Amino acid sequence: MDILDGLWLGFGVSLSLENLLYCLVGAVIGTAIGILPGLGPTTTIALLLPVTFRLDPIGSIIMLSGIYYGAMYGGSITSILIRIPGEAASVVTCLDGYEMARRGRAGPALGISALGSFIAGSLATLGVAVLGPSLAQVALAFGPAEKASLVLLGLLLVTHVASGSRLKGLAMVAAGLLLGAVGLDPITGQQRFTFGFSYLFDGISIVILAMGLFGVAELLFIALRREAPGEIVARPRSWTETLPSRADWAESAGPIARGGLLGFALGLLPGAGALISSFASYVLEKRLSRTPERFGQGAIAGVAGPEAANNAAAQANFVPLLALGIPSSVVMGVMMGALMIQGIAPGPALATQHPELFWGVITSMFIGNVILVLLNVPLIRLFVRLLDVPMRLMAPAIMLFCIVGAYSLNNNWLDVLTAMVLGALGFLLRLGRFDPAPLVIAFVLGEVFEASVRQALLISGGELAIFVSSPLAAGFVAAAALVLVLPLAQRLLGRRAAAPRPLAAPSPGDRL
Amino acid sequence: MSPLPRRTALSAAAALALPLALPLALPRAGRAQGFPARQIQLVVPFAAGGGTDLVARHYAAAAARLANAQIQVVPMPGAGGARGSKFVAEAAPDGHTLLFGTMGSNVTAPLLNDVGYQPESFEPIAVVSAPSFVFAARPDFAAQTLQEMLAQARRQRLTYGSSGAGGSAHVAMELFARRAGVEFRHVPFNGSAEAVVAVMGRHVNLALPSTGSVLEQIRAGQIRGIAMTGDARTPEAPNLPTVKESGIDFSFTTWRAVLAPRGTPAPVLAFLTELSSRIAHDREFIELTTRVEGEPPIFVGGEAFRSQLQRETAEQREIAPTLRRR
Repeated sequence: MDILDGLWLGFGVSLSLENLLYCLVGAVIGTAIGILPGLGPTTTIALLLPVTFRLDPIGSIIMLSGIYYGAMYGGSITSILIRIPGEAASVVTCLDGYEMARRGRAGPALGISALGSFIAGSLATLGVAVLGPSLAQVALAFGPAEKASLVLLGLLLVTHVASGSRLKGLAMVAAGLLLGAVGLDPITGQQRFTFGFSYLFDGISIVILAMGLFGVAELLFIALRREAPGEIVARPRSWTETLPSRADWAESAGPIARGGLLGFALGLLPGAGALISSFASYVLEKRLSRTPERFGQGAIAGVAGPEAANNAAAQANFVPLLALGIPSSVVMGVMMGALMIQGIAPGPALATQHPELFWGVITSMFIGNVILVLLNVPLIRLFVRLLDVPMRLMAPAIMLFCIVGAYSLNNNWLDVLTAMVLGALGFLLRLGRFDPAPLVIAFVLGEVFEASVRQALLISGGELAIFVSSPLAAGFVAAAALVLVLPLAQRLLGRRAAAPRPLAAPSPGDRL
Repeated sequence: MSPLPRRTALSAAAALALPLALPLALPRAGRAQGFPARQIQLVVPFAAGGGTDLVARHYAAAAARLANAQIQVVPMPGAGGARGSKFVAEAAPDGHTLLFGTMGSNVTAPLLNDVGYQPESFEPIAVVSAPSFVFAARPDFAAQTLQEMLAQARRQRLTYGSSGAGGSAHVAMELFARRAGVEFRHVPFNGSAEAVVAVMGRHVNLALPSTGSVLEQIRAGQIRGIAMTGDARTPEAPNLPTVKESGIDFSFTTWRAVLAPRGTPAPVLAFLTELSSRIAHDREFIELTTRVEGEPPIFVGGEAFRSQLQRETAEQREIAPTLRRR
């Protein structure tokens, strides 16, 4: 079927009153659970599955996908306002989004995050519609060796996420890799750092880790602060200050475009997705920026890029499922379950066998993104007003949501306990001015890296040549080598940057 | 609309349903006095939204529909099914806390790690679903039949992707390799979808996903099924031969089943086995479960299930050292 025919058919389906309603419900729920720390899209979609047993197949998938990408919008709101990621993929938005809010620019931060998400999300949806099936084949080229070399490149760039001391950043990377090693060995199934507790067999959940190190730690930190709440975050003085200015747009256009592309590419790969792409975009923007020292001090590019990236990734995540019938993430696995409940087995023939579903869901993403931006932008003023709520009321309420969210993940109180322990750890790290962001990203990348390196070596029978045997893998390895060698070469040649980046410079707004 | 006609219709329906329900209800009441006394908790030791969870929910819905038994599905994921299983193993053996377990949670997990229970820690009630597996390769994979695949495996090292170390695909392949007298190179992935992707992208030679999960890819010609591990061909893919047909005396199906803590009274077990039998033979349950599994449900009750469990435990105990090895 022609793409235009498909879009025509799809909009006919998704613009029906019933499906518009499903889309709206999904977008609203998604925004809400995105805002609430701990309650993530995977849990919510899984919990809502039984509700869809008796619903119309297309409507229920439209609603469930709305929850997923809607959560990407909602997740950034608490990241920006109170430095607590509402959703794991919004961790990186805490870095500069919150700093913007502290400087009275919560409005533009929220605005650029919603509008950037909208632009990237819509373009990515177009990408899914136009390129989807052919891109799915490209994604297949990413085997263990390709993934390992890509992640190697990523790991080498992680320390750039950290603000402040490079050494402290490295320490956090090491800690993240170690924490990621907890659990059953991915290849042999042996226990590692479990101390015999079966709870630790699965390792530490990334959701719990992000919630603890960022959410709970921040709440503890709030309790420590003596200042009146008014001094913590400056509020925008007028309505116009709640939207990004012309200058903001000029600064954000590039990051949104690049973040969108990056997110789209990474979202196609199994096991990568929204969280990694938001970090990758942050690192990229910091490297490209002429003023990298402003990152971590409220650089709008550090909000626009990652937020665009995680939304594009959320849309691209659908490609392997819709084009091949293969779920590339846990969320998509649940989504596949939702289709199968309805008697629709997703497979390569989905688009021809169920064109109304295929195109209906894709076009609903356009509509969903419009609904979300219409929903979110007018609400920015309201969200900013939330800062007027005294922290002594706000903080316990958020803590409650964290606890409920942590518990709802697996119905396990040990998850709540882990979040609290990690929260205490995050609090200590904050006191010592260690940035937990590189820890989180190393934690995620480390697991992927270890598994794919070992898978690749099992496949090759121990031959290291497998990491350069395909053009893709060789390309990433070469890029990684460049990342290592270039700074060294620059230093040796005495061509250091005009203004050497200060090491461990306490930022003017350094907390505490 | 006035409420009167609706109420009349409801009571008429009740009057019609009552004589139908009575003959079924009476003999059971005699066997398990006062059971169930309250809502039954059916613990699913895997994540909400996964295959086990979905079949369990259809089971619970059928129990409510067929016997008015109130069953609440409680997902308790963690440690490869060990967390929820341990919870049920330690629960009061009165039939009000049941496990919706799998071969992975009840046979393999306790053999590989100290999880606080043994395969024998449960009273088997009934298997309601038994997914088979399929040897999946790319369409251009040289070997056409299982025998050709084995011949190739003897000449060169063939790699296979599994859903993970100690997962069902790993267990199935090790048992098969042992029976066929060949060796395959095991590459564990994170879930069977990743393993299938690795086959499609030519990174590994084979994968062993559940038959139902790749029917669409097989139909679309992106994956070729060499043979499936069920006892008989599945109506969903009648052209797919079984391993037995290929001349190797081997079959392997995993299972999803209802189990109770050890020491649950026999009348309660009998009640639950009979209820499970009715559910497994219910048309709506069959249809809904087939959608999830890609294969129709089955029923293995009581003692037959117990001896199956013992046989599988013995088989897997033998290969446990192989499963732990790299």
